[in-house]
This record gives sequence, structure tokens and C-alpha cells, in this order.
Amino acid sequence: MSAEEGMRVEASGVARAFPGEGGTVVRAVGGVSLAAEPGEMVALAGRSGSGKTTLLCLLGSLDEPTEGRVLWDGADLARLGRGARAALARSAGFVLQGSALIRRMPLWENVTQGLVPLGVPSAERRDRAEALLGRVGIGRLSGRRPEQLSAGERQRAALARALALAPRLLLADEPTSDLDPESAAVVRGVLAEEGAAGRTVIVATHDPELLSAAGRVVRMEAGRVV
Amino acid sequence: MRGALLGIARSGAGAAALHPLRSAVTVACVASIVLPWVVGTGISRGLREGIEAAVAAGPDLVVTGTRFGRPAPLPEEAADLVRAIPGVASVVPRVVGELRLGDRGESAVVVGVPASEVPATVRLVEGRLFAPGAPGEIVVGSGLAARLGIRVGAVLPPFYRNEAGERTSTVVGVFESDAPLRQAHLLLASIETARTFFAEGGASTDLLVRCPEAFREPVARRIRALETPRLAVSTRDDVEAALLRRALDRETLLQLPFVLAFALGIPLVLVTSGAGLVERRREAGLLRAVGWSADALLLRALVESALLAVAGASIAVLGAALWLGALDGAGIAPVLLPGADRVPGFRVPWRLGPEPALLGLAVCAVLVAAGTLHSTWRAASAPPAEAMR
Repeated sequence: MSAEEGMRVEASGVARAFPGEGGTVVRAVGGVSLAAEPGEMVALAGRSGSGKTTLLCLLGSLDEPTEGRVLWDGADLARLGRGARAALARSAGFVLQGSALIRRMPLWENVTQGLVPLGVPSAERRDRAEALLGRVGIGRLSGRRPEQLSAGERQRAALARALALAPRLLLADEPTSDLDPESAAVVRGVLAEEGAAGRTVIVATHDPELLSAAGRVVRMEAGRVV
Repeated sequence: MRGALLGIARSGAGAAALHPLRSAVTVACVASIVLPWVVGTGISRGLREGIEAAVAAGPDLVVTGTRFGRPAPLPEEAADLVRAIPGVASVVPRVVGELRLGDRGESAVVVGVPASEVPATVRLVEGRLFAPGAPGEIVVGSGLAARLGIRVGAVLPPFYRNEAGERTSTVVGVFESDAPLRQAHLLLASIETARTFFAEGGASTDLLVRCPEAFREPVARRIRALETPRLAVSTRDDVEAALLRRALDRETLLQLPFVLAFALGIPLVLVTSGAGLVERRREAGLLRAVGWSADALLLRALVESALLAVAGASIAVLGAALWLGALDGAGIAPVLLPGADRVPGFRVPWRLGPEPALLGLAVCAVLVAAGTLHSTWRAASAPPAEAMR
């Protein structure tokens, strides 16, 4: 399967509980079943605290469910060994909430950190980073550090980083929140292009324009799909 | 594979520079823990070398007198008795005693030997050696001369008195030695002059015996077998072992607080490197999220730790060289050099060879690794979302 193709992602009865205060258990996600097909753009909508981010992390293998299964192209992530899981994890790109770039590290290095363990030479990484940053409209800033950028520029850089490994699955958590209209438009455009290119795109968002661009909107409330 | 390892290693090296404050605090913390230990180890190595050199240049056997099982002066005839034993090449009587000199009662060790027996490590920097048969001529170590404020030609006021009345002594030479303690406390004189200091007539404190190696044991047995006077014999190996044992005892005394310091150092480094613990966890989670494996993260942290350890050890070794060279091991020297002041005021023997440097590096590596690898491993083993939370 080429990198151009998407990935079938399936959540089967997944739940995620966290220990709360006084020995209580907080169920951020409770028994959600959901599937996203290659080339599909799915938007997770719902109020803050409804469990969108947690579900996105579970679908993207950034977190482990306390119940249920997450399957990528039919493979149960919980049953994979550490190495296989790490290798498979490179099939997914994640735009984290608040951009989450490494401080003091030049943008081009931030964008291509995922290529470091693959042994991609520094010069090649820089070229790739500049191309990706150019795609999100900030190619001229590749030598800057995150603290020297605006929130919108950081978010665009985070999107470029998520694309660095040419992922088959692209997940984005509130990618347009608090962005200026220009930056938000760039982000929406790139996500739409990725979906159109056959990748599986799952976005947690409040942004009406992004919701309308999605092929399917899944609404969540109190950790459940409604 | 090689490219990947190099990339990860480079990233680890970069991580140290990415967090300059965290790195600087960790390096400073490790260096400050290891520095005094390297100083102590440097002095220990210097002392050992001094002992080995002194023993190598010394006699084959050292004979002392005993009475009631305790050391006692040797009568004049003891030297003749030992000299008559087959295999003995030479016997030199020696007097070693302690005096207090000057208004402040500076401690001085008097060694009375024939001029031919003055150790080769003693170098005259001023004046000459005492002349045979010239009473009252003394040669003092440069350290002692400085402490007493005396030079060649100085006449020491009467510092001893015997049946012949008060006597003065004349400083005829000042020496430096490879063994700085000698400089600090030693006073050389002919055996006759030394005997006069202590009013001991023809007695001596020990005999320096030389004999071919094959005769060492039989000669030692014969000396021990003498009935009158009762004699004790130490071979060159015995002397070396005793001196090294004494040095080792003091080293052990010095090492104990450092074992404690190292043990306390690990949580200290955990706290200092943990000053960026939240950041480290977040960074580990972030890198996991972009495709790094836990193993790659650990390798990255290992390279970062190794670099910080090398920096810490380098600073510790350089600082130790400065502490030993410019400050004479102040504060630590008295633990290893009996009789030395807190600020010794003389050149302490020291040697910073590869061994203390490598040991320092190993200790730094353990301290930094214990402080950073555990937190990295925990962050790398947790799901990325949890590490970033």
C-alpha cells in the first residue's frame, strides 16, 4: 500500500478512564465505536470536555484505551509488539492542540524530528522541511524558533510536521482554534487536500467551516457519540 | 541503521544545548560533587607514587630496637653486630626524632644520617650539605625554612640543652624535595649533630641495611635471632606495605564521605535535571507522537547524559588540577597528609593521571544517567498523550 492511500481506522467499544479525585474514576470516553475509511475526512464535534481530544488520541495511538480495541487496517494496536507499533505509528501524523513544538529548536528541525530515527540526513531533512513549510505558507521561517513565531505560524508548522512522514492517517486536534483567518484558511485547505489525496483525516474541531468541509461529522457528548 | 543511530546521537547532543540552564545546573551539580573526590584521589595517587619511589631508593632492611615490645633506641654496638652477619653489604645508623622550633613551636623532624645517605630526591636550592664532623650544621627543607623565616647562614637560637650547655645550630643549606612533606617539616643533619640534639650519645633510632636480594630473608632471620639487643626488622616490602596501608587507611577515611555524597548526588541530580522534568516528559511524549520509539528516546537521553557527564568530569578534573596546583589541595590535603595544615603552604604530592579522570567520568556518568535516564524511560514508556499531559 503506498503512502498516498489512506488507512481504515476503527474504534470498537473504546473507553478511556482516568483516576479522579478521592478515588473516583473519570470516564473521558465511554464505549465509542467509530470507523473512518481511506480518503474520508471525519470531524469530531462537541463541547469542550466532551471527549474529542481523548478519542482522537486513542484513534491516533497516542493513548491506550482502558476498554475496547483500536484497529488500523484491521490490526489491533494492543496486540502489536513495541517495535511493530512504533513502526506503524509512523503511518499517522498528529497535529496536537496548541501546536506543541519543541522550544529553542529551529522550525525545520521541529518539522522533521520524525525523520531523525529513520536516519534521514540533515541536509535532506532541511530540504523536506522547507518544502513542507512552504506548502503551509511559512517557508521563509524555517530557521526561526517557535518562540519567534505567532500562534498561527506555530500551528501551520505543527501541520507541516504532521505531514513530514507522509502519513496515511492524519489527525488534528482543534487545528484552527485561535488562528487568524489567513492561517485558519491555510490549515483547512491543507487538510482538505490531504483528504482529497486519499488519506484518512480525522479532526476534532469547533470550527464551522472545517465541520462543513468534513465528509462526516461525529458529535460527542460526555464521552459518547450522540 | 548507522545513519539512524548517528541522527539520534546528534539529536541527543543537541538536546544538551536545547536546554542550557538544565544542562548547566546538572553539569555544575555533578562537577561540584566529583571535584573534591578527584582532588583527594589525585593526592592519594601522588602519595603512593612518593611512597613507591622512596621505598625503591631506600634500604633493603630497616632495623629498629625494641624494649618491652615497644620501639627503643639502638645501642652503638648494634650496627657492628648486624654488620658482622654474612651477606650484609652495608649498615648505616640513622637518627629520626621530632623537635619544636621557633616561637610558634613549629614541628620539625630531624633526620641524622651520613651525607652519603641523604636521599637522591633531596635537591639543594641554597647553600651546601652539612660537612662530616662539623657539629651544629643543619640543612632545612624550603617549606620549614619559609615557616621559620630562616635562610642559609641563620643561626638557630638555643633550642636544645644538654650536659654540655646550650648549643646553637647554623643553617648551611636549604633543600627542596620530590616529597613535599619533607620540605615542610624536615631538617637534615649529620648523625652526630642529631644525636647531640637529643643527648643520645652513640644511640640511633634505626639501622639502614643493604644486602643482595637473595640474602634479605636469611639476614632478616639472623637479625631477629639476636638476643641482645632485641631487634625488629622490616624488609623493603614490609615498609612499603605499612606505608601504603597507612595511606589506604586515610584514603578510606576520605572515601566514606564521598560515598555518602555520591549517594546523595543521585537524588540531587534527579532534582536538578528534574527541574526540567515536566519539559523532559513533554518532549519525550512529543517525540513519541512524531514517530520516535522508546528505545530511540533512551539512546538520545543516553547521549545527552554522556555529554553532560564528560562536561562535568572535565570541569572536575580541571578544577582539581587548579585546586591541587594553586591551592595545594587546601581542605582535603590534611586528611591524607598527617601534619599538613588546612591550607598546607607547601606543594602537596599529586598526580592526575588517566585513572582519576576516568573514574571521575564514570562517577559523573552514573550520577547523570541515574538522574536522567529513569525519568526519560518513564516518559518514553508511557503513552505519548500521557507523557505530554
